[in-house]
Amino acid sequence: MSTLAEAKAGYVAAFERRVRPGAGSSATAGAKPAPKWLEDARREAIVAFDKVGFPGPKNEDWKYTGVTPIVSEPFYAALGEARPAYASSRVAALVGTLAIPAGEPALVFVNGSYAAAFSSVDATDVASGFTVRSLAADLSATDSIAASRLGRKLDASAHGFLALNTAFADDGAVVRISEGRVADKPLHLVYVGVATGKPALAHLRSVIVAEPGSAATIVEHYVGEPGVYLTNTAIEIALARSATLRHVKIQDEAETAYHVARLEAEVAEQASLASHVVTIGGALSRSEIYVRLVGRNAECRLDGLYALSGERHADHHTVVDHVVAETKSFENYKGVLDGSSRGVFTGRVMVRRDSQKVEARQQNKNLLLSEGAVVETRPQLEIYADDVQCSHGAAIGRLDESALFYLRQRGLDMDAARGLLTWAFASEILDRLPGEALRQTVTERVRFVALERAGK
Amino acid sequence: MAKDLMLEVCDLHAEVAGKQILNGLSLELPVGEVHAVMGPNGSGKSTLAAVLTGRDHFTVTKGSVRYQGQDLLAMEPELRARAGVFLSFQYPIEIPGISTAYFLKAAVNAVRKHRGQEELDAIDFLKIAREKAKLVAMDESFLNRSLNEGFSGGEKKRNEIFQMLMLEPTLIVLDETDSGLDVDALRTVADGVNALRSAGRSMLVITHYQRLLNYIVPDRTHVLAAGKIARSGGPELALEVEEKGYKSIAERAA
Repeated sequence: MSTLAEAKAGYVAAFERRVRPGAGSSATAGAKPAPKWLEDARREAIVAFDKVGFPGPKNEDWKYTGVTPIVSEPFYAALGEARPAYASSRVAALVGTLAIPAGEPALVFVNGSYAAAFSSVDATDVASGFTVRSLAADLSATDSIAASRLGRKLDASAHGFLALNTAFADDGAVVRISEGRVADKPLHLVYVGVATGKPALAHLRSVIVAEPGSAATIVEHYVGEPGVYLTNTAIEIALARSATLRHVKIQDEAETAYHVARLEAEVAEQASLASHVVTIGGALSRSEIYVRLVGRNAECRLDGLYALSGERHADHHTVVDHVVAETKSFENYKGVLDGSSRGVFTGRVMVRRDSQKVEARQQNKNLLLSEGAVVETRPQLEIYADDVQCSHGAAIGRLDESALFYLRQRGLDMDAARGLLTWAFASEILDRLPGEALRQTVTERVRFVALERAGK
Repeated sequence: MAKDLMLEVCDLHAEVAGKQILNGLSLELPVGEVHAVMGPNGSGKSTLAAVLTGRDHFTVTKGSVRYQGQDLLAMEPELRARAGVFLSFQYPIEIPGISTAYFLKAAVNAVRKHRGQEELDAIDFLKIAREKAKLVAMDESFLNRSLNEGFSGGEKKRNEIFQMLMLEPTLIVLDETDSGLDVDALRTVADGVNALRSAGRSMLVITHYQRLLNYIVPDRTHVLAAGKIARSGGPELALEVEEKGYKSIAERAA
């Protein structure tokens, strides 16, 4: 059997093992059975997975990202097994590096499961406008928020990872921002990978509901200890009329980790989504964003920075669908690539035939710091309306020789000059991160991981 | 007794992409003096500035340059800068994303470290920067704006002079500093330069037009033609150039 076929069979078998009644593994023992609708959705998803499998090179959307390294690891072996124990001090250490300001609520997940001991969400957070639960807790609650939302807008058959996520995810975050409430503090969702000595797999599924007129900031942090693990995460976001949501995703996974993420958002009339993605970690990562602007004056701003070194491969895949007229999208992704890293950016913008008076701006600029770094950039505009303002620009360049000389003429050595120019390039995106503390922490981390080596 | 030399350029030949630009240029700049280097387009003025500061797309094929007795051409650009060589660029670079203050603090501290001085902290740096900015009538807000981004031609040149005041170099090369300046800006820039004139400092004022030399009066004037000095004289030579043009001077020298 080929690796691919073997892996596929492995996941399907793991699913059967998992749902077989009376299997009695310690992972499922004692847990409440999932509601029928969810169990049905999971089964549909594993059937879809069996059909679509993992994305291959013939899939245009995955043309530049080969998933063989992920598929080759027998991550499925861990599914349905008891989750290994871990030392709490190691989780605390990882969470500590994030320097989340005291008083800001945080939900912490360890190897795919909610870990209350490290989280700081309680009744007082409801006062700040948030209702926050783990998915597992929400699904067993009588007033489940996720029940009417989960998987409704997200097509599990889009690709194998998404299907697996739907089939296996049993935890994640469920967040509701109540109508008219303005959350005064950001909510942090922290996903921690703790090494367990064997390949680990975390499926996370989150749901965010922003009710009419609400406003909030949600920050997702992905961190992990050195080790081979896969984070397969999906988040579904619904913004009701006039809601404002700022979503930040900091992907700082271990250097040996794999990361596949999907954000799917629907933005109603007058509502606004701002997404900030910063990617610095992981051996191989894929970050997908699908936004549908479904009401007049809905808008989204997508900012992204990937700062890659070593042999990292990061693929950012964004789709903005202007479903109705008078909607706006602004997208600015930047890449800094060093070593023999590889970056992929795809930005698809769809303007449907009746979507007049749409404004769509997209930009993707890349800075290559080494001979070995490669970037593929693909703006894809599909515009069927005629009264629109759309623009896009893609650029791949190296550090400007004249600028380097200018800095050296003022006394900066080559390393410092290169670092400063690289920094100048990246800061445009980092400067727009919300909150002084977050901006500082992430900025320092980007400097340390990606840019300290830029001058070498 | 011969004067102490700040800069001694001897039989300098340089080319770019196989094309000979400097063709046996020799020049002596004593400590404490200001010399003007004039010449028409293509005579090698900017190449001289580039070779003195170490731009790497020029190749020196023959000759030598000594700065305070050291072999200048053997030094990396940043070492020349730290040793006190400053170039006011004809076309200052714009760097979006880095403030003038941030960049200049790094530069000032690189130079101070080289000189064995203590590095400036943010507060001391700003205090000095505010004083110096006043000298070139530069608004303080410029310090926090991205380096030269969206600056007018005059603002960029004033920023060059401001940086020069901050770095306190020993050998100053002004490359076409007057280009793109109106009379008021020219006077401001010249005042900044003149504020730095001192017994221990030398300047090379490279210019196409005589106009700047009304404000920065040189001790000597050299006229460059075809990559070497065609004529040298006192400040009055600049006026002669203005009156008769480069052609007649180059012909007389030939």
